[in-house]
Amino acid sequence: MLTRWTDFDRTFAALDLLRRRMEDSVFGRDFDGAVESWGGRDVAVNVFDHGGAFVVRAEVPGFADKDITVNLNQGVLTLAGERKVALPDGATAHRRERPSVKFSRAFALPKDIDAEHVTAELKLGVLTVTLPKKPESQPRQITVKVG
Amino acid sequence: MSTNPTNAETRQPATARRQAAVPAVDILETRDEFTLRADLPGVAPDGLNVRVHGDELSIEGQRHEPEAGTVVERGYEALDFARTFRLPPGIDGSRIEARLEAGVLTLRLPKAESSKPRKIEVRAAS
Repeated sequence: MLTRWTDFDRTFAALDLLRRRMEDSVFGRDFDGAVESWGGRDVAVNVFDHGGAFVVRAEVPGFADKDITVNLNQGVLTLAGERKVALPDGATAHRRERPSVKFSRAFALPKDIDAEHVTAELKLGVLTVTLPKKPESQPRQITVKVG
Repeated sequence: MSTNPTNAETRQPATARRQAAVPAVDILETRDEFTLRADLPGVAPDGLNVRVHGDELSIEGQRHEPEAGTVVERGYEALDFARTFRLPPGIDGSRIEARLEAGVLTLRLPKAESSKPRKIEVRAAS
């Protein structure tokens, strides 16, 4: 039995040599422990300025609504969450690259955010927070009239 | 590039079109099956392609995340995902089940009856 499991580890290896080398360098050779990969350090966040609003996106696969809190207080936006990845009873792990994650990220916001209309959406494992700017601070299109 | 790939494009490996990221996976084994879980944030069910060809299992996830506006902070590239595995012998390929939930793919790979551990009853000679 033991030999078979060892064989499995070998045969379940990714096919592409280049990819395998990359995995070796990223994950180390020991696949038994929880290895660091996505989110091992923190969740990845992108922030875009859409002109009329800032959009903050965070990669949070495996997080449910209840696992995430979005807070806006005194001009500071805080995203926090936790996912637990547990090994079911009686299961043998051949690869564990998906760590349990606990994160908290804080962003100091510019003064012109319309705090009343901030929205947060969790979809497909991506958290999107939209922070509209107050109307007076939005860029305005000035129409040039042809005389 | 079109953001609405045709069926023909969907069948092409994601890596052939643009750079793809290798998703993190857990692979677990119980008596009856293997379970593979992969983090695929941003991938919708219709952008997911799981294929078994011989003993190769490939997972591809297309990601269409709006990236309009000016970048204030860049923590990740919204790349497609692609990864290929070689399956161990004894998996019943016709009974593989896939589920995508909250950006996590769960694949159940049942073992064929013949490859499950069996307990042999020892009968006492009477």
